[in-house]
Amino acid sequence: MNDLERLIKRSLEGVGHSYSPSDEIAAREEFIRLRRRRRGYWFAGTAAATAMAVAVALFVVPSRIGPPGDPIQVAARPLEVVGAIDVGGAPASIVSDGDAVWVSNTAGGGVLRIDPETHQTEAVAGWDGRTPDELVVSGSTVRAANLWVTTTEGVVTRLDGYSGEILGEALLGSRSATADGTPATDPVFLDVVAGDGVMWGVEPQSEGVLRFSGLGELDIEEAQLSEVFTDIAYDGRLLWGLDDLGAVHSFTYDPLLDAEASTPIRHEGAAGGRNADLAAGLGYVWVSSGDDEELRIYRIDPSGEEDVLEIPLEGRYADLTVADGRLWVLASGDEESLLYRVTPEGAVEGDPLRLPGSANDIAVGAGSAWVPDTEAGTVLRIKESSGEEPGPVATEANEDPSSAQPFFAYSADGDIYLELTDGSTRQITMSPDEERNPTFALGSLIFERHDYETDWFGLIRHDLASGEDHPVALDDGWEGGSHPAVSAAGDLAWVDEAGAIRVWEGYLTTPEPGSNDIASIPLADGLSDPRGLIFSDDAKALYYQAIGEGWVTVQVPLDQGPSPTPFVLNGINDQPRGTTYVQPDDATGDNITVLDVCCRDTEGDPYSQFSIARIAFTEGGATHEGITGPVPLQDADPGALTMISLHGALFNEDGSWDLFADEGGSWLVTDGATLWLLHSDGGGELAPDTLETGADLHGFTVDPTLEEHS
Amino acid sequence: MAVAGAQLTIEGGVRFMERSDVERDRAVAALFDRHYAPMCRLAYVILGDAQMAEEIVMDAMLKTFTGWGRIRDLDRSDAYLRRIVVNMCRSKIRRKMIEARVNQVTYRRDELKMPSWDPERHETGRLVWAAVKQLPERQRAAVVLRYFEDMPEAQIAEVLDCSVGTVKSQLSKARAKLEKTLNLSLERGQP
Repeated sequence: MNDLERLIKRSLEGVGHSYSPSDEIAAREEFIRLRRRRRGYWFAGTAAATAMAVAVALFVVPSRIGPPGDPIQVAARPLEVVGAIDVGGAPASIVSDGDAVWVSNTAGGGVLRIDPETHQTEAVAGWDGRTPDELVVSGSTVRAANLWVTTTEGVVTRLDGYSGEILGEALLGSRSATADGTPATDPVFLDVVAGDGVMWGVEPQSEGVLRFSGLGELDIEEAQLSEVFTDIAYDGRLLWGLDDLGAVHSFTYDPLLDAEASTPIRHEGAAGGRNADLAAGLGYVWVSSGDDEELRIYRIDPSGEEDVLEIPLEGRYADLTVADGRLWVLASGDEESLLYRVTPEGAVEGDPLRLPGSANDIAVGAGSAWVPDTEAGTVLRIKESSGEEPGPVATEANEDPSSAQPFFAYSADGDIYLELTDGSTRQITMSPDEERNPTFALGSLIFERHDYETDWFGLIRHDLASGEDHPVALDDGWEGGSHPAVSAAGDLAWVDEAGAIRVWEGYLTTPEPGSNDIASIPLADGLSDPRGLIFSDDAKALYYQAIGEGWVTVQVPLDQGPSPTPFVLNGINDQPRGTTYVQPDDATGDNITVLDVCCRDTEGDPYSQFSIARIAFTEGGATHEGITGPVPLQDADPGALTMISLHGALFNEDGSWDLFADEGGSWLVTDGATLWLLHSDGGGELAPDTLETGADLHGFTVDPTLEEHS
Repeated sequence: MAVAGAQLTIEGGVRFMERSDVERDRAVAALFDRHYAPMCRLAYVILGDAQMAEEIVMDAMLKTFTGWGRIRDLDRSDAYLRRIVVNMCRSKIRRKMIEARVNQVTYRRDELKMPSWDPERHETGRLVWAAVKQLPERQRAAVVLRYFEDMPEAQIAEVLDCSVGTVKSQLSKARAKLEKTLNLSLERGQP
C-alpha cells in the first residue's frame, strides 16, 4: 500500500468512524414492524389462490339467486373443515394474532395456545375458580402478543400470549349493586376490543366505556357516556359502539380523550334488535340482528349517509369478524351453525359451511378460520377447498389485438411474464436491480437498463421472436432515456436525460438508425419531472404527468401541433401514473379518450389513501369527471404505496399464475405487504378490497415462492 | 419458471423455515443488531448522506430478511446484504447525477454532511472524501469497499458483480483520478 492508498484508507476510516446511525433501537422496531407487514399473515401458504378467489368473486357479475329477499351471491371456492383439534373441556372464546391461535376453556378455567403448524396445544394461563369469558389480542411485538383475558368474576388479565407471563392484572368486579348498596356478585360480561397496548370494554350494566392499560396493576379509566353499550368494535382508527337501542356510535380514537365525540350515526331498531353483534372494517360498520324469525346483517356507511345494506341470512345469532378482506359471519341456530363469507359489497361468497352444534365465536388467522365446538371440546380448522374451481371469470377481452395491452406479471427474480393477445405466454428474465419500466407492443418489450458493468444507461428493445436485446440507438449515438412508452402503432416515447420528451414515430416498424424520425416535445411552461408517459389507444395522442403547481396531466395531440393547456389534477398530490382507454360518446358518437390518473394521497393520515382522477379528453379539450376517492386503505404503509396496473397477476403456490382482467373500473394497489383491488361501483364511489397475500408485492414484485412463507 | 418448490434455509443445522414466527423475529432482530450500524457506515461513506444511508440500509435489510427463502446460507447473509446496500447506493448516486443534469444543478463539491466531523482537524481527510465522492459511482463503490471495508479484490468483484480484472482497472482509474484531484485541491487549499 503506497502513501496515496494509506491516505485514502485513513480518511475513509475517519469518516466512517465519525458517524453512528441515529436511534438504532427505534430503527430495529421499525424494521421488525415493516418486515412483519411485508410478510403478511393471512393465508400465507395459499395467498395467491385466496386472492384470486376474491378477485374471481369480484369479477363475476353478482346475480340474485332464489326468491326475493335472498342475499346476492357470488362464486367462490367452498369452505371445508380440514381438522378438529382436541383441546378438552369447553372451548369458548377464540382469537388469533395471525400467527397463533388462543382459545379459552370455560370448563377448565384456562387459556390454550394452538400451534397452527403442528396443532399442538399449550396452556398459557390457568386459574382455579375463574371462568374465562372473552379473549382479545392486540398487536404482537417482537417478543410477545398481548393477550387480554376477561373472566366472569370481573378479573382482567394481560398476558404474554407466548410465554404465558402475566403482564398485568386488574380486578374490575361487578359494577352493579344490590338494593342496600353492597357490591353484587353478578357475573361480569364485558364486550372488549384491543388496540395497541390498550383494551377497551363495555358492560351492559353501565353507561360508558372502560379503558385498560399499563403493566402490573392495570390502569382502569372510564369515559362516562349517556348510553349503555352492548357491543364495541375497533377498526384500527376509530372505536364504534352499539347502544342498547340499536344505534351505532362512533368515537374518536380514544373516547377518554374526547368523550363528547360519541355520535350516533344510525338509529334503527332493526339494527339493534336481539342478539346483536358489531364489527368494523372494510370501510363499513357491520351489525347483526337476529331473533327467532330471521337474521340480518346490516352494512352501515360510517359517514352516516343512507347507505345501509341488509343481508338476510339463515340463523338466529351471528358473530361477526372482519378479516382477510371480508366479513365472516358465524350464524348459529339450534342444531347447527353456518359460516358465511361476505364481500365488502355485501355479496355472499359461495354457499355457507354448515357446522354441527351451536358455535359462538370465530377467529381468522394463520391461514385458516377457527371455530370452537364447545360440546365436542374441539377447535375446528376451516380452509377454502382447493379441489373445486370457482365459476368462470367474467372478462372483457380486447378483440382488437393491435390495440390490446398484454398482461404483465413480475417475479421476485426479475422475470416478466406476458400473456400476449394471441393467448400465448412468454417469460423474459430481467435484472430487478438494473432493469425496469417495461412496456410492450408489436412483439417487442422496451425497458430501461442501468448496466453497472459498463456504466451504460438507456433503453433496451427485447425482441420476443429472437430473444435478442438491442439498445435503442439514435442517429447521433445518443442512447440514454427513461420512462418508455410504446403505442400500438409502434411509436416510442421516452424522457431523455435533459428531461424532454422524445417521440420516435414508427420505431418498432423501422428500428434502424438512419431512418430516425424523432420529435422532441418540450414541456409546457412551468412543468418539470415528466413521467407516466402513455399513448392513447389510437396512437394519436400522448399523455404525460408532470409537476407544475401540483401535479398536472398533459395531452399532446401528435398530429395537431402544440399541446393544449395542462390539465391540473386537483386532489392528486404524489407520483401519479396514468392508464387510458377509448370509449364512444353516446351523445355524439365521437371517440373520447378517458385517462385515469392514480396516485397516493398523502393528506389522509393516519390512513393511507389513494385517489383516482378520471379525465375525458375530447377534441374540444378536457373535461374533468372528478376524483374518485380518496379511498382509505387501512393499515397501509404510506411510504410504499403504489399503483400497479389495471392488469396484473398473482402467483399460485404451485408456481403457476393467474391473471386479473380489466373491467375498466378496477385498480391494483400495493404497499408491498398487502394488495388492494380498488373497484369502482360505477357511481363515483371506490371500494377497496383487500387481497392480502404473504408475497412480497413491493413494486409489484410478486414472490412466487409463496410456500416458503407458510 | 424461475422458482419451483419450497426453499429451506439452514442455520446451525436447524431448518429456518421450521421455526416459529416469534423465533424468526428474534433471529431477525439479532441479525439487525449485527448488521445495521456497519451497513449504515458503509452506505454513509459511499453516499455522504446519513439520512439517505439509513433509509437505504433499512430498505436493504427488509429486502434481505423478508423473503427467507432467498438466503440459502445465513452465514453469507452479510455478503448478500452488503451487495444490496452497495447496489442501492450506486443506483442512488446515478439517480442523483441524472437529476442534477436534468435540473442543471452542479454538484456542490463542499456539500458534505458529516455529523461529528471536525473539518479543522481533519481537513485532509475531508478533501480525500470529497474527492472520492466525485468518482463515478462504480469506482466510488470499489474504493470504499477496498479501503474502508478492507476487502480483497476478489470479494469486491463479487459484491459489484464484475470480474476481478474490472475491479483492478476501476481501482486503478480511481486512484489516478484521486491523485490528480487531491493534488489540485491541496494546491488550492480547498476541495
